[in-house]
Amino acid sequence: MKKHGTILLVVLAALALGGCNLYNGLVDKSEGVDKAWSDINAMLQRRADLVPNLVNTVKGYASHEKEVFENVAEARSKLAGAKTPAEAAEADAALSGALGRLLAIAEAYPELKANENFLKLQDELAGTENRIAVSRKDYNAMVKDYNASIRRLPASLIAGPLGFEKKDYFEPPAGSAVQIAPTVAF
Amino acid sequence: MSEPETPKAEPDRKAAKPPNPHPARRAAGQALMFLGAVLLFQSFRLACRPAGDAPVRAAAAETGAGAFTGEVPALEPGFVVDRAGALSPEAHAALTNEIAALEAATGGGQMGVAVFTTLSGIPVEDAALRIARTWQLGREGVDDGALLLLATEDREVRLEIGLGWEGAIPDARAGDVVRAITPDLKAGDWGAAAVEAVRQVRAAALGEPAPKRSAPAKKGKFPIGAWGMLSLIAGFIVWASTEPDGPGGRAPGPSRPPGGHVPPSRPWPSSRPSGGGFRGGGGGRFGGGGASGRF
Repeated sequence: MKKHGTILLVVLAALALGGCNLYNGLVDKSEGVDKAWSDINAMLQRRADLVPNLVNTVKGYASHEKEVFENVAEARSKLAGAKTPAEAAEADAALSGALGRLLAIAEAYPELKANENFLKLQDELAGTENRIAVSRKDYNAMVKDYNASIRRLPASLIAGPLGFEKKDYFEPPAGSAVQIAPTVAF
Repeated sequence: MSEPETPKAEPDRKAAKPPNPHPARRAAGQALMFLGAVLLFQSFRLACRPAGDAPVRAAAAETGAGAFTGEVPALEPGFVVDRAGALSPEAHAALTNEIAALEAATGGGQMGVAVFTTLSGIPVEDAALRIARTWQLGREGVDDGALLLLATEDREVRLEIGLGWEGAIPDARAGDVVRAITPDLKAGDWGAAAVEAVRQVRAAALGEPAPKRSAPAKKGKFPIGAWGMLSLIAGFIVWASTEPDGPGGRAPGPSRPPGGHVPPSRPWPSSRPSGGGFRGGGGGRFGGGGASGRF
């Protein structure tokens, strides 16, 4: 009887240890996703900070293109109000579209195109967009890893009860209108 | 194969002789089998070692030498990898000197130059990030690295800036560098273009002596803010612990054994120049900063 008790204790201890390991692994992965998410947010904020400068520069040459400026401002404020990754991704894509149209306008103004400030802003914008693409890829890879591990067998037993939930990818929801690439027309 | 087996098997047979001849034969047979297995295993290991290099070379041979096909070549001493054969020996030497000068002047910053003929349709931003992250240019924790990627036939260029230098070299500045070397690139003077790029990166990096991310040095225009900084630091911790199969599932850096996850199947140790004490990239990180251009 005593022997059985010892064996039971050992098994329980092993299970508890294994459970702790699983739990810690999930916590690490979850934290990883959250941090990657804040990386994306930092980059989205960075781009949002660029927008007023860019708009003002373009306004100096093409003040009558009001609709485009309004679209950009609207997309920017939507992005600021986005809560979930999917919302943010959708708003971000909308802002990309609006900015694409804003830059397309510049093509029609040679003086604007040659403006040094505009060139620099374009560099910053392109660089920030590249950073968003990079951090989005990194984030989605982490989400994929995390989502897979909370569904894989040993961890899936504790993931649900301990409140580990599936996380959203950073991408616009399926069927969202903003996925369509902006048409460049002049 | 049979040579090493017989002498080893002989003592076994002798040792096992006294009790019974039959078990002795069996023991000898087992010894032979064991030896055979060991030999087979060893020859397998030997056969596997060069195989680590083979895919890279085969890929290069198939698509024409000098093409970037997604496989990142090993970083070479001097930090110049010219797969396109675009640099003359003199230009190569001048470039490595310039890079060494940059490293000395910035107290450890590292800049790499990669030259390919074509990127095989891979966007220049993706290619540059992949190479920069694999080489890990720049010091670990300081991230003062940069990479100049040239695709001579695609006529594309990218200057990739490490996270630690993004303050000193914002994208606009990187764009200035790219624009400054574009005439040389147009003329096909790859050496002059690359040397000029390294020189300009050095000048820009020295404009901000401490390339840490402590001061909001974004020309006061594009502050990343405390949260951005925090998240970058946080990102580093995450990245450091998950890097090998993390973002993009790309290769682990060559010089990262303390991470403890160097996958055994990767050809790193064999494809890197052995000896000479070449330490490769210092562990710098890249987040996609920099500028691209066409010429």
